[in-house]
Amino acid sequence: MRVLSGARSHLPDGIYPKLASYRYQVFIERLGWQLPVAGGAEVDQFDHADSVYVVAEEDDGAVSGCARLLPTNGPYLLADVFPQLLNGMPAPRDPGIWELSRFSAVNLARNTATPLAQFPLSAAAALMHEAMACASAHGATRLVTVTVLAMERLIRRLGIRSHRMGPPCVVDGEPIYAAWIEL
Amino acid sequence: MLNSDLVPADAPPLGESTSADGYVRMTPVRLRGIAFLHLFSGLDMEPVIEVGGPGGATPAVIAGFTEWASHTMPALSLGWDWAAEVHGKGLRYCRTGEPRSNIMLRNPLGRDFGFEQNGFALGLAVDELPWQDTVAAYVLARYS
Repeated sequence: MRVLSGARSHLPDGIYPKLASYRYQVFIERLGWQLPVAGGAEVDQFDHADSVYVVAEEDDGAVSGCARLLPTNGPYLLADVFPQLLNGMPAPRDPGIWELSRFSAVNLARNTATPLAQFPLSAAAALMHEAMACASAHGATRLVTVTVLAMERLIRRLGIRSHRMGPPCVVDGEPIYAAWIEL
Repeated sequence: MLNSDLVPADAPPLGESTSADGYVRMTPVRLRGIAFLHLFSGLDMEPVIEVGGPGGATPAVIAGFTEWASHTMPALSLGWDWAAEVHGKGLRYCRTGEPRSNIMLRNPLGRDFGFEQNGFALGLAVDELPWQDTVAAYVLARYS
């Protein structure tokens, strides 16, 4: 497995369509999230020229993990879609604070039956640390994220310092929450 | 079963505000004066774990997580994992692992406990909450 990172224009040819297809298979087909789709691709309004991607690619070229990084001085998920998770705080607007979203370490070639098994630990650790390093390289000193509660337990297992912004909310029947992640 | 209004938007003020780093800071004494209400709980789909007991580890029957919050603004959040083991003719619920929270405890001089000690101290505060019967009843109603 190798991990690639960069804006869409900096990713090797052919990776971005595979990434969008992988996200569709994970977030739409497997997790059942209600997200915008275009054909077999999961792409939303936060996938733009300034979005930075971290992509895990297997030896056979299949995508097996991903993450998306957005600077909070532009549009981002927490501020624009889930402000109720801010627990009364103003949304961060700081070039030193980036948002981590669409994190997945699901290898679709393997069967995973349980929620935490969505995140095989070694692959998740490699991807998470690469995402954190990538964010740091872009000037981030902290991350924010909106994600499912299972992810919070994964972050804890990886030994990453993180704390929530407030209680979880339920969206489409799924408890989600917002958190700070220290880099 | 679940709804999105877990903490009312018009909840009364807590008295403490959220710091720039996202924590709500208070002393353990102050924390113990705040009421926490159950939001929801769930079962793990992971294989059951084993919890320690007198004479060695005892197989846990079920394990899961639970979420509690103050109905204040800002809201305080506490979530933790638990396991239930056979105890006599019933089940005994035990917290497993440290709580996940937006609270940073500090001493009366205003110094933060720090990440590790904070987690430990929040765990002690959770252990003083009468959460077991609530979680047991919720899980029974949700999954039976």
